[in-house]
Amino acid sequence: MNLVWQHMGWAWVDKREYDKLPLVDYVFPWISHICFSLIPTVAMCMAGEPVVNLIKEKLPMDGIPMKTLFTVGALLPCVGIAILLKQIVRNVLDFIPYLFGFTLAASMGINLVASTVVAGLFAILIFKLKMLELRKPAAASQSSAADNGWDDDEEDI
Amino acid sequence: MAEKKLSKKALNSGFHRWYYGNLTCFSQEHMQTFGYLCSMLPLCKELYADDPDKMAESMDTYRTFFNTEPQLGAIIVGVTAGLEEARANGAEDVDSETINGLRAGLMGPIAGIGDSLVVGTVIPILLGIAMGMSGGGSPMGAIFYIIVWNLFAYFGMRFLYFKGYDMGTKAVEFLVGDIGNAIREAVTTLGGIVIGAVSASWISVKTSFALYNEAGEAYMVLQEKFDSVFPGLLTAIFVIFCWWLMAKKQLSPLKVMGLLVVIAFVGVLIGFFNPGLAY
Repeated sequence: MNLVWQHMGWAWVDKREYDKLPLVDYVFPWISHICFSLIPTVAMCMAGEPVVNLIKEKLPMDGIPMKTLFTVGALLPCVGIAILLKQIVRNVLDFIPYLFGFTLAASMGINLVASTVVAGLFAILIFKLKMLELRKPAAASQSSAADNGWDDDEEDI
Repeated sequence: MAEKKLSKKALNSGFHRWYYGNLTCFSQEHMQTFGYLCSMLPLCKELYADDPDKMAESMDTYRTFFNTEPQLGAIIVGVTAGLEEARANGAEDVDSETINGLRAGLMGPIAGIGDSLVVGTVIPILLGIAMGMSGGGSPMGAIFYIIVWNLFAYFGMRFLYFKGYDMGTKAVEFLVGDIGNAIREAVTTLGGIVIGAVSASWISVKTSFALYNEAGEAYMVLQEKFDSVFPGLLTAIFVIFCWWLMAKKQLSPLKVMGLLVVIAFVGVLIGFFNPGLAY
């Protein structure tokens, strides 16, 4: 349902009607929230235990629908991580840091905070390498300018 | 021409809009894009009050997709506030491409770091304390969590937002020049490693497929074979598969999710997937 509000929002941005944008972000999503969160939660709370038992009876955990639902639940976070990777990965080599972090947690059992510390060290190393790369051409151009001056002096002599 | 400076009122408005509305109008297609647009709106209105075309150009900058961990991500929003002020004052290096390059470069790493520090550490600690206080049906746990989390989020995000704004205004060259590229590459590497660790820690895709002998004993358990090759192999394969579908085949996140539903259904039917849960 939020896609509907966003569709309206894009039309307003195209028309430069920016004062209507807060409706898209702060007002209309309440309708989505009431429809898909508040009403179902209140309905289930009011319906109580008999409805919960009915659901357990009609949708057993070893049935295809619930197995599919929980398998989908395990797979869907992959989409979120893939969206983050889309921002970082430009070529195949960019997967190496990702797989390195994956290895830290999956194979070496390192937790997230410790992984962040290890990643921080690699970030420092990358930064220093990049800064050395930047300084190298600058140093090279300075030394070539100094050599030209020396040659001129030699010619003078 | 007098130098343009964002007022405290506009900055406070921008911050409060981000604090409340970063994910209110969420969708898989656009995620935090509208939260970002609404946060930048009072700032762009103030900076370009006398030039509707420049205001449209600056608002169009923030139409591109954005998603990050919203608490730590407040620093990115603050940085762009500072960069927008620099652009309004005629800074040559600051244009839409530069601003979006910075946003795109920082949002992934900040998401990885923020997810591990805030969602993976601070929130579980607060919830653990709150659940301890909820014994016997006491509402104190819920009240504690609501108050403490909101204080942490509000003041933490406020600090980061205004810090980002200071960085944006004082260090435009630092952020957009060669040093900025080096910082972005370092932060991208950090983010990539952390996102890998988050994937392995929080996602678990396993197969229940096994071959059984006549006595009913499993003589080949596929998940054990996968683990011997690379622990978490199926998880990594599915993440990279989803990346390939979105980055190379240009499928939208909604279509990828639909495909995963089909894969899950077929996988359950053939016995490849079985969560093995019970009520």
